[in-house]
Amino acid sequence: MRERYQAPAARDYRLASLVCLCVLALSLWHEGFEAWALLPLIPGLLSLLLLSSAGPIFVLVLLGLLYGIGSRVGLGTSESWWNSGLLIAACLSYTACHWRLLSLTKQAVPSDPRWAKAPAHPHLKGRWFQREQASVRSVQQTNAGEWLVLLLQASLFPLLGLGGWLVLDTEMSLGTPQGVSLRLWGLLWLAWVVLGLLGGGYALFTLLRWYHLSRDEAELFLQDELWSATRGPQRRIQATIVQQRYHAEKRGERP
Amino acid sequence: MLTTRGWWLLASALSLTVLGLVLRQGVLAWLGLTLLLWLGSEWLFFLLRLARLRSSLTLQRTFADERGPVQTLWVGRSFTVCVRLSLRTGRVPFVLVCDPVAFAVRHRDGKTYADGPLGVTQPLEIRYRIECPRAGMARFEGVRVELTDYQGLFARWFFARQPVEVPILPAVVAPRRSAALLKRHNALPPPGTHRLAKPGSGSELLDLRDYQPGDPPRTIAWKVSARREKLITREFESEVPVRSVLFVDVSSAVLLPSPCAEAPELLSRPVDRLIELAAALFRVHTSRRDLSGLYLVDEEKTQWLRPARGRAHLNNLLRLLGQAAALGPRACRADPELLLPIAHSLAQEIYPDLLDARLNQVPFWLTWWIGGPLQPRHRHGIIDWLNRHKRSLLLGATTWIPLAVLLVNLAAAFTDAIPSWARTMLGAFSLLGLPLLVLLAWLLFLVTITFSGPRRKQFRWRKRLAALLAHKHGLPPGGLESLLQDDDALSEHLQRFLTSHHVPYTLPLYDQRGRWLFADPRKITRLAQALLSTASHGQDNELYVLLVDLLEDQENLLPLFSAIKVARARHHQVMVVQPWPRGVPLPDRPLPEPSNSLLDQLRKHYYQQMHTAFGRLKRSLAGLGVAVLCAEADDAEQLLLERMERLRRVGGRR
Repeated sequence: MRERYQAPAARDYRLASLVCLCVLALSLWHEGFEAWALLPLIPGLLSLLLLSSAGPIFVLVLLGLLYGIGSRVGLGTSESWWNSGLLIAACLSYTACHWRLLSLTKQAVPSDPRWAKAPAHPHLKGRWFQREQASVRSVQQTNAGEWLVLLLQASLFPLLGLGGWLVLDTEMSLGTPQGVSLRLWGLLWLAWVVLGLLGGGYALFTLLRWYHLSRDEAELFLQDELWSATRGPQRRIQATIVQQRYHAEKRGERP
Repeated sequence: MLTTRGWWLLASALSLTVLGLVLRQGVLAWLGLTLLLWLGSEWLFFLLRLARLRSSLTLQRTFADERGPVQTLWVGRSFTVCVRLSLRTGRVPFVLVCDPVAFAVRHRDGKTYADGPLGVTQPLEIRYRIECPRAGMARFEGVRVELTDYQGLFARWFFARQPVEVPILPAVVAPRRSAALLKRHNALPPPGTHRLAKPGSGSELLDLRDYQPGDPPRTIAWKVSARREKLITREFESEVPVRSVLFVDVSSAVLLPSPCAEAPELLSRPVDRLIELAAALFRVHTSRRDLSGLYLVDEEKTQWLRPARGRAHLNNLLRLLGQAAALGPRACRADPELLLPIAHSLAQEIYPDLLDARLNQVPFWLTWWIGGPLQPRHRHGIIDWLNRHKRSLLLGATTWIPLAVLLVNLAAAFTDAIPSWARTMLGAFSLLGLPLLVLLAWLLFLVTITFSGPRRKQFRWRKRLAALLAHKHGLPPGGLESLLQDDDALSEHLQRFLTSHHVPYTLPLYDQRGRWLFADPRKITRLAQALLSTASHGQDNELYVLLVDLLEDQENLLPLFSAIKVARARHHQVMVVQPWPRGVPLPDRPLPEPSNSLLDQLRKHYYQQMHTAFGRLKRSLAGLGVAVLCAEADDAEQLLLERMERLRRVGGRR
């Protein structure tokens, strides 16, 4: 663990997370949050020290609270688009860097709950479900490409997010029907978009999954359908057969 | 697919967006939408990578020893396993792969996993060393592949099945030679030929006799003829090859595993020792250029290799022994519930796609309503009984009995013959007893549902495994329900499934009525037939070594005794090697003094039974001129070889 934590790749991500947190705090300061701008730094730094995966979530929650409460008490009134964009890019980069750091040092793949249910016979111990490797990325496997991807994501997604927000804002401002509040219309719009995307994606991938079923899977599915359709009569038939056999055994007609 | 991190991020991003919209805070909504879009793009790329990985993963496995790649493994030696993974097209930035070690081998050193990018030109390699503790078959099922993104937001694993079976051949260790080689004869025959005390064309003098017309002149003993004043002819011994045929028992009785005290992760079986002995004998025979044959006998079939000599034949013999060692015990009446957990775990690991709830469904209400087979062979207490009959009990108490009472009431209303006390009883039952009965039935149903959680889980496993086995073993329509209802059929198929994957498992030795589950007189019949067939086709001076468990069923040995008599009458030699359970004192050793504990007393009783049975077998076979050896003796190989050497020497002198 210590070696992993001190490896160059981990050090780079740690440093990047720190820089992102600092940029985040500066942006908040610039937004007019004054000393409150340092608030998200506390869970961020603590989770970097303790290697906790909850750090980014706490930072996001605190940002939500700052903006939510700040608007009521007159904090964060600056409306600089550039500054907000920087804040969002820093937030996204920090989230990615922190969890990448955890993938290198603590856990990249979650543990499988079925491992706990593996048979406990001594001769089977360690044979299956007992993954012997630590579930982390090898620190030697990092490369420059992933940094490039991160930079690209940090610059592209805030722009896309801005586009999305502008569309949503325009729709809320112009297309709100009579008698429906602006907020409710915005929420409905968001719900429709999210649910539509999720539903469409699920349908598409389910279709693709059925399309790419292997021969074994398809045969098993058909067998299962047949069983579902005829389960009742089959159950009675098989139970009668078994009962007859047991009776024959009792009478000594079968060994 | 989404990990805990992913779920938290999704929830946070959605909350921020909603909060931004509600509070009209543009930055929050912007931040939430940015995170949602990022998460969505990561998901999309993850799915594309997963699809690519599934479709174009290639796996290559090689085995090597110090000298290079090998096709077979050998007991007692260590080998390097090398697994090389690559993609036919594209590249995946990060995967984790793990190679489960086969059950028949032991992991020695090296990592069984690897991680990193995977592509056409970026293969992943796993390299580790294994050692082979016993003969059999090592089955490497494939590799477990785990895919995730850099942040760990999404993760998915699947099993890339590519089973490879490699035979583990028994070790060919030459037993040490204890007796000094004394030259007893004038001329030693060449390897592969042995003296037989019958007149023949050998070089060793056997006897002198009167000359008979037609005898070759070179056989006339001139000095003796001169002394006796009549022509005397020399007779020479025969020089014939010795054929040895080994009959190895591979029935369920010798395949039964038991925990090994030295290595708890391994199970020891009597057949392992038999195979070890057989391999040593073959090795010695081959080194002496003797002909050796092999019969593998079990309850259902017989496999054999006719006697021959040479390295290639030795390899064939060892391969057949290796295959025999890979077999598993079969007991059709074993309780399937003992095998379900291990089989389900194996299926979850290797066939997760075929246990997927979308393909192999168990309706959620099914286990609430139906509780297992209607006619089980094995019963597991009152909760099990209630669980199986809960539907009938509930239907009976809430539907059929009230209907019957209603009909009786109707009949009573139109009939005058019913006495008044009976009408009172009927009314009381209808008004008080019936609601109480319904209440009781519901109560019983709820109690059953509450306490039968593990049994309902087992029934779900049973359904999923039944579907998998019905598909894998090609059962006809109705086979799935047959496995659900028939304990014996399910048990048989579960054992077949585990055996085909070479998973060691233990079975109960006795059924609920106390009957030994592995006694099968067919084995003795088959063995007797094999011995008769070999003896009838055999030539002079053949050795038959029966490495067979004969203790289990001594009442049915008559066909075998007849076959042994025939073999002995045809001047063949027969020996029996009896497998002996690990941990039981050898027949010629004193039994340990037991303490007062019940377990020790039972153990002593069992040891005494074994010793008595062995003594009885030894006495019965001694009457036929057959020696009986115990396979677990430390010097069993040596004893066996010495006895065989003695048998060779006596040849036809009887």
